[in-house]
Amino acid sequence: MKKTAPFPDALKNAKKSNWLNQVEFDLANEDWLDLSFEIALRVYSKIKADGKSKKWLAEQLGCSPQYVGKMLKGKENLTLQTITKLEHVLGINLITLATPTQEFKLDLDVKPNVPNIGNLTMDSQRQELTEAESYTDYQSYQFAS
Amino acid sequence: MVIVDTFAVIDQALYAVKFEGEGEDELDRTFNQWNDPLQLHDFFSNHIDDLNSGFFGTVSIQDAVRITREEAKVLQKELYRLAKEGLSGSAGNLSQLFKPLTKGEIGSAYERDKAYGLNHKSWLRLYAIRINVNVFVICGSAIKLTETMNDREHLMTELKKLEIARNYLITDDTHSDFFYELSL
Repeated sequence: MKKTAPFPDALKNAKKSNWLNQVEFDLANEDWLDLSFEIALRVYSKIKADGKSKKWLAEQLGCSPQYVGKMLKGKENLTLQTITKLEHVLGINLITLATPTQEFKLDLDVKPNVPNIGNLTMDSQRQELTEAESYTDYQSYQFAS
Repeated sequence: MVIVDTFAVIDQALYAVKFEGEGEDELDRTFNQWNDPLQLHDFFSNHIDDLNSGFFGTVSIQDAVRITREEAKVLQKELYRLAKEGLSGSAGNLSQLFKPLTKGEIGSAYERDKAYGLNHKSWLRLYAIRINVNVFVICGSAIKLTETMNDREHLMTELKKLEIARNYLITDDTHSDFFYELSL
């Protein structure tokens, strides 16, 4: 049997907490908040590891230290422009997109066999080129087809 | 250290106190802190020896930050669900989440309680005063990397806060009668 306290007077006039609003916001925005948190963590870890300050980062980004502070809270809906700026300034990769563009670039690196490209997929074209089949030739073929 | 206000998170179920000098009530402050990569990174950097003392294995600071936030997200959802369910009279109630802080607390009025993060070997702690089976007053929280609360300053502060909150709630009830509830 537990001795239970009566309802305390101190709670009878309690104000409304903001916590529920925060939970509801977090639930509704969970996906991008996860990314924002991870970016903030990587950015902060990097500037700490490099012995830099938030003020230094603000100067490099051309924004206010207040904005950097806000960004490092991990709750800022960052633009692609800001993310790529951060990548350049810090020399780190923050986002990687598995887009057709990237696959295309990767395929260029393995030098596909230009004459047989036809309707086949890029992956099936991974054959060694001869010296004469240069990257420029491949580009010309792409634009022409 | 003084309590300056009380806040209702969910009426008749979940409350939180606010201490002087703090911008938010303790529940809001707790989850803001556990969702703040900068604060968490600084905390684990300052407690790196405790983090890698062996109890939690070897964890990098970045992973410790990630683990904390993921656990906090789960705990936040569970706290929200139980408070709502308890209020509607369905099966769940907050007593399923909170346990007495020590064995000596069991059965006492204004019991000092703690809730763990829901993962195995979680370091998250939420501290509260239990009013009844589904009424709790949050008065602090911690990331507890050591076995006891008595050898780290931030944990001793939490013990003080629990005591202050308990006294605050008791002194406002001097004219009321206690009653007993059956433990099922």
